[in-house]
Amino acid sequence: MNRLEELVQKSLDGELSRAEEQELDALLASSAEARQEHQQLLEVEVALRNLDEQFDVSDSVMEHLELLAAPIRDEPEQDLPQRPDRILLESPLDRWFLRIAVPIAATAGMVLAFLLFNQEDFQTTRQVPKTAATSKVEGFEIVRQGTPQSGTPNALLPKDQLVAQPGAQNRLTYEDKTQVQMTEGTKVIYEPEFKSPQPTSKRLELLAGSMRAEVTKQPEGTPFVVKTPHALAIVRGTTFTLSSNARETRLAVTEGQVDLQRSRDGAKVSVPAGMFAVTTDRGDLKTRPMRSSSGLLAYYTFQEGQGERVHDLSGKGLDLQWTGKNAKSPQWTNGGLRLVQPGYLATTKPANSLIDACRKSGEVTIEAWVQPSDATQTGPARIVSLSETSSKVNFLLGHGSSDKLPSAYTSRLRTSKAPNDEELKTSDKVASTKLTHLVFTRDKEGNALLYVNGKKVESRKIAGSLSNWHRNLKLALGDDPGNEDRGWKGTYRLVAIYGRALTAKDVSVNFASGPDQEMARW
Amino acid sequence: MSRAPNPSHLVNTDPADFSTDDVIVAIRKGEIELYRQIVVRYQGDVLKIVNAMLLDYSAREDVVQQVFVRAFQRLEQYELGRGFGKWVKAIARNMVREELRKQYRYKGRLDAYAQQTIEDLEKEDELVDWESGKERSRALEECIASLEQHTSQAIKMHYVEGKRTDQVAADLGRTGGAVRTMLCRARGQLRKCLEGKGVLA
Repeated sequence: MNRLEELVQKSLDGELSRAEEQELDALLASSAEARQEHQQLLEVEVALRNLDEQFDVSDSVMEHLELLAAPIRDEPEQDLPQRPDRILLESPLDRWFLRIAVPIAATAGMVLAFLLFNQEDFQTTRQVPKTAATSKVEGFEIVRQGTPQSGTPNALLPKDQLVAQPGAQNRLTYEDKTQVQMTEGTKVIYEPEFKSPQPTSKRLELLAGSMRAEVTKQPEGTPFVVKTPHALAIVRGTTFTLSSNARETRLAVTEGQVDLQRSRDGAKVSVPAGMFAVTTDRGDLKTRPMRSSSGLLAYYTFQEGQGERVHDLSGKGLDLQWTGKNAKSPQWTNGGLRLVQPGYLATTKPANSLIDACRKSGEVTIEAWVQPSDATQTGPARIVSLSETSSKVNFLLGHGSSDKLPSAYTSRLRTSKAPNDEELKTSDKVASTKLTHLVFTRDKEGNALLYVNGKKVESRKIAGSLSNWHRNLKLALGDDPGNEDRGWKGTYRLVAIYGRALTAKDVSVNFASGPDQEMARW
Repeated sequence: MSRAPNPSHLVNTDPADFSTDDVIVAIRKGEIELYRQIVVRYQGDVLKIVNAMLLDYSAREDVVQQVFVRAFQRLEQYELGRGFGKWVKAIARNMVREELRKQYRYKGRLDAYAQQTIEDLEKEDELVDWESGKERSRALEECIASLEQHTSQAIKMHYVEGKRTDQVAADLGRTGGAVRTMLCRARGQLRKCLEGKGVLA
């Protein structure tokens, strides 16, 4: 392998250092022979790439189109796009399922079961041990042998199906204090029969939906096992959330460790605290870090799938409400919310808790996973803002710039030394219609950074404190509540505001964890 | 122009039996699932355009996907009878340019080959002739077959089966670095072999 071949390899891998780049340029400039060899090596690479017989993007394109054509909630039927594969369901509960991800699947349960093993490998018959009995069943419809039971039976029987009811605390409590909470609409089977690689203390089958479990340490060798359409979650004592739909099963572990074993091929991964894993019928089974939650002041994942309200999952109570005038409602898509203009979302009350926290810390982070509908927008169009009008701004993260950079991303921040707010923006042509991760951070030393897809792209000093931030402003997504003339068009997948400056590592982790970490509202 | 098909009839029949324009008429009437057939028919041509620009190998799937999503979003602008392949390849060329501009911005340079590629992409017919030339393909296959067995195996796994280098390394029981070195050497050997056969510039 000669030096030119080596440099070409690095160039193709995107690993050419500045010095090597200069070396390559010098090599090419010095010799016609080297230039010809370089050209030929690249031609060989192109020819090799064209050999790919497995290349097929048809599935991913069709999934993307499904997202684009997702129905608009509560619009008249005749206004919905024609989709031959669209499933029309009647009940609000069913529509909720449909929107979260077609046949969304659900969760939780709890099982009692103690296995009397007279077999060596897989056990399907068990005796119910005392430790697996439930002491309390709250907020479920119970279907026994196909018949809904009136009221709540005193005791669950194996194979009872539980459906978490709306407006209730949906919770199973076992005698050993293990608790399993479920989101509305979640369906589970209590103590079902399925093949397990080892004896179990409790069993549930999550048919669709989401569950969060705090599991007391289970007897040695007999874990609590939850089956989903794609995997088994094997739990010995920990806190975790588990969600499942037709496409995937998602496991996030808060404490301890949970094993996730894929049903298709038996592949297994251990998911420790602070990590999550996703398994599907295809693709890799990997663990990924969970997002940073320290200093979180507002957090939205847009998984509601219906209505005009977006819940703040940070627990700070800053829910967003659609407040567009004479405009179409926002469109729920599979995994997000698409804004059509005119219209915007704003907190139902002034975001004073957020404002006061940032005033005190002198730091802030604005994070968004978004997919613009148009690569070029003007204003800057407000993706996320804490501003009333363009002259009354605490911060904003926007698309486009006031100086003719329609495909730039822009941030603005008010400080005591920049009362008219300072701007930090990318170059033009950075914005596209692809799903994009944007983060603006500013620490108390005044270091302001702008990241796009996990990479720092701009930085500058914005001196001063945040003590002069306006109070009584609402956090808004999509426009300024005061003027409504800076509308942004696109889909939101995740928005988070922190009262601290995320580190580069934090940003990298949040980027790597993707926009879909949270499926459930807890 | 071809006859307008009955969409439901199309759904129950092998869409490969219909012209591209027939399928597009049906898609416009709501048979969106038929767009999959369009993607399957034309993704090879679009891939060749994307390959020619030598983006990061892992980015090409995303770019090809975006080409077809954009084509779908603009499907009403396609004029029946004008040749869908030509139309979608024009979209691909434009998106390739956008990607090149982004690379230039982030890497601070646009090498001579990429500039040449942009010019080549304007000459669509020449490019397609070049890429699909049977002589070159045959010569490439012969050259790959002449490599040491483990090297040709690595080439096939990476380029024919689309496996990442780390997956190739795992399958062959080698390190990622060793596989990359192997591929690098193979490229040099293939260059000499193809040059010897008179099929390289």
